[in-house]
Amino acid sequence: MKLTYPLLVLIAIWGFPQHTISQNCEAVFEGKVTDFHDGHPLENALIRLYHTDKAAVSDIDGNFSISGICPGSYEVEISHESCTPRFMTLEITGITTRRITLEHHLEELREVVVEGTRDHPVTASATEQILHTETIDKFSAASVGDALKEISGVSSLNTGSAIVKPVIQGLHSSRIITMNNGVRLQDQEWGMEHAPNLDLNAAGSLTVVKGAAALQYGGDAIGGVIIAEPSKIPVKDTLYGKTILSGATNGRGGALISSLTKSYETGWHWQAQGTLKRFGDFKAPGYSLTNTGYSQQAFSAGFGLNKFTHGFEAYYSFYRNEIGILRSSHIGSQRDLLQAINNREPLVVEDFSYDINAPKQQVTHHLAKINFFKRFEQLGKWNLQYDFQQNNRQEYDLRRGERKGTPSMDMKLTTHTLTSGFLFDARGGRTINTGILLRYQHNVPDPETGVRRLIPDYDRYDAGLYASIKQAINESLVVDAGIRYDFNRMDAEKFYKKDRWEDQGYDEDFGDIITEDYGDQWLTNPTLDFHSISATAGLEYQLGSSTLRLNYALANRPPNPAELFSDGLHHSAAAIELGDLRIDQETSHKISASYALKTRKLSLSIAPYLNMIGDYILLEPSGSELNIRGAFPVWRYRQVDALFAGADLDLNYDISEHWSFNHKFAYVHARDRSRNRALIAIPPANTTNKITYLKPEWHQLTLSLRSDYFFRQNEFPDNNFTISVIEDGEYVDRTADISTPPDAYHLLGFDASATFPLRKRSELTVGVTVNNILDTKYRDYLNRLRFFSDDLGRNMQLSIKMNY
Amino acid sequence: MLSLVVVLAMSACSNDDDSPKPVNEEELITRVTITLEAEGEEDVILEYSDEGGLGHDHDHEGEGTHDEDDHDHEGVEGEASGPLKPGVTYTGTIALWNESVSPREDVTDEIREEADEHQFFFTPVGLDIEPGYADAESDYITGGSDNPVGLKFTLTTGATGHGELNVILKHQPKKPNTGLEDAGGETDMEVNFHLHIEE
Repeated sequence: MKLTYPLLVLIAIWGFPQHTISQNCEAVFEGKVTDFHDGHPLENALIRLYHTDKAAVSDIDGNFSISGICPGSYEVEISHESCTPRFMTLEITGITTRRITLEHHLEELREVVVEGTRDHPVTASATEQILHTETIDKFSAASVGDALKEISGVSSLNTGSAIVKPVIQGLHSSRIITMNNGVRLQDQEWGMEHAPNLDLNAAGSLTVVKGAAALQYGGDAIGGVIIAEPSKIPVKDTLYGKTILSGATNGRGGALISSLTKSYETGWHWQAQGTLKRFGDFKAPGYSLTNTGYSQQAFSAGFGLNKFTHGFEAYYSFYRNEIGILRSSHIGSQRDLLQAINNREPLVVEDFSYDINAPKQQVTHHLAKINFFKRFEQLGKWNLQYDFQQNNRQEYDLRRGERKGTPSMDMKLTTHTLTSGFLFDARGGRTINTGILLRYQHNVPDPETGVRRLIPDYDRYDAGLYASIKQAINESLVVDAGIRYDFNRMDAEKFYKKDRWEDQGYDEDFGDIITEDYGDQWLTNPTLDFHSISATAGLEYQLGSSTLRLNYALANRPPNPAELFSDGLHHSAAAIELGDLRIDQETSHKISASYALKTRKLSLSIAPYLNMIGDYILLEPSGSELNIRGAFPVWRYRQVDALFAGADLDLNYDISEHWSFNHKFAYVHARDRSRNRALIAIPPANTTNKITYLKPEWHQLTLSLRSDYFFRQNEFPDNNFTISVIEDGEYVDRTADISTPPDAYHLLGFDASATFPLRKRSELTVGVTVNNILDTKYRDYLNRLRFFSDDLGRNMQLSIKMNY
Repeated sequence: MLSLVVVLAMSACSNDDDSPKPVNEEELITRVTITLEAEGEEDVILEYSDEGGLGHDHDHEGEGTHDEDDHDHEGVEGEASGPLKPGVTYTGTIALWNESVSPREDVTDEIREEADEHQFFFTPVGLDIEPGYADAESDYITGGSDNPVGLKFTLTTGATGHGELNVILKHQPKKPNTGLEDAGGETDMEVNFHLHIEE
């Protein structure tokens, strides 16, 4: 490009008809063309006066001069390779001088750079991986959590097959920040069976930053950050869209996804997107998983203006799902749990149905945002955003009588966030990113449920400040660093039963927060303040085809509402879960490194890490309680010092023109250093190997065979409990083994796709996917329903995608 | 300082003047009354009442989950009004109440209305008693099946002695089933009664 442009310029000039200059025409137009951002002179810019043969090309200093102009008013076009052309109307008399700025970041605006090359978009030194549209489209009928597992080191914590929570290098829930189109998702992410309320299909890319280094998103991302970004909208006159229809045999359901985008050369754009998913009962090898169907509806729409000096975006998204929870997993006491474990198979197995009955969860999430930006000449870009979110979660248990249709838990979480940032990118080789955040959050658990609140009413106030810098030292070395301060106030109004209050020892430590006496309950007003500092520093060193990255990140995470306030029976776990007001924030020191090699045939990445977490918050059994429903273990939150160490490996090798091989491996070792024992629910080592055949000549025919192997987790704490049960008219002690992880398993999958051109600029892609080809029976250690049933059996999926 | 400003600024938009209402657990069974009747015999009343009304007043905390005590069992303990006679068939009726609300709520009614979703199970431990069902879903709901519910049941006593009678109410068990082990479902109530069979 760089060489051809001047050539084009010359041809353009030569192409103009040559006229003789009339005697009055002695005016001169001269000036300098510079980059809007950093004031750098732009060489090879073409300056043209319309309706004349006059034109010039700027020199190495950006200077140009056109002489012999007849005085008058002219339309002037200034264009430059990879810049938006500028048009201006000018009066040219005598010697007219103008300094002209051009927007030199067109790549960003027009997406000239192919998506696939942006493989490390967020930080310079942290370990990051990105999934692009092609991968996301393959998972259109599944969830965000399923798609993210394509990234090495990302696994999932499941409740059945529809509730999929991402786990990054062994950490999940509140330790992960999820960004949806620039908005930090506030969707009660603390719960083990609360999956991110975000429609995968609205995302054009999914990036995972494995650690807390991306400080602009928050200081508490001990596990990492998931960034879902919509596809960039080009600044040109165009209308395009996509529709995907897919159907699957397991669950006998499917998904319909459609999107449409319109943009204009002027920078205006609008887009709309919708998703419908509906599945009935899924099937394990041999039996139906009764009441595991789900439905999801989502849509999003937005419009905005994207000029190079300024712009705005207004965006709204709606997400709703209703997910059935395996009937047989809804149990009462410890004895029910023991019985379910010993049975190996669900006791209630009914015929296939699309019905979604209790137990189930129903979640609605609204997200609205408005964002403005303005670029300042030779300085950078300022950006201001307000966003609003409302998350309503309803959980339905098996209930009696007229309460049948009433949820047992009904919480409405409303969040307002105001953020502003300034990106200083004018100096070549250096970017400084600064910003502030103000957030207010209000939680209301509906008292009409007739079940005591698991999470109380609360107001939460957050304020944050950050600054980070990325500096290129020389051709091959880039360093980055950042610091962030966060303030967090939790102001709750919570009822405690008086006997619980005393059991917890709160009467001694928190006597002054009682505000009212309600007979057997106290109303209290716990107000907790947290100040957190997070920081990061690292470097990226490039040598030939190798890249080495090294990063240190310090993160502090204040406890979430569940860790502080949980107080009640958790049905699927058959456990009473208790939070603790004394829980303090956890502190993580993470060192991560990565080595990446990219040659013509081979790309390889090895990323080891060490994460030392002080005061790591975990939930573990401590004693049991007895009531008329039977005996229940009590699980309490407590804090220990923990260590996570592991490595992720990715390898891609092009064996020949048509064949390629892909390998992924992830391992994490996690330890409770306070008591020198293993931590619970740590994903086992796993590896994926895939061989792909690609024949572009045959309609982009792609065939791939995939093998996923999950090792058995051999490091686990012993949380087993003994209960006495009646057998043959006698009490006998039996051990409920809730600790031993399931055996290793291996799954085979197959994928085929081909693309056919339709009319102009339209194409049709047909794909067939088979998962668990051998209908292997298996259970996953990180599936909370592993006590009750096997995991999913074979699934065949057909999908048709149309791009237009 | 920044934080103070934030809290002050934001307090303005929160309207938390009215404090939340307390929630009293609605779906409770706080009193279980089982009446055992037989011709020519004195009625025996088995009763369990959760005085606290809100559960978890029988704390095992601190004892850990590994109980050494053989007599400890996984259920709360009720009281019997007197001994049973040997070699007699008693007819039992069960009444369940929620007394944490006023007026008290008759939970038995709810079980009757949802007879197809509930079943009681009676298990003697070290006690010579033969339990049996004396009702069916069709007694309570129109078009109901012959599956037992257990709101009415029989206890046929054998030799003298003493031991436990374990009574469990399951919500949404598999129906029909071959017994407790096969039923699944959620335990809504589990009470033990120490019974004596005496001449």
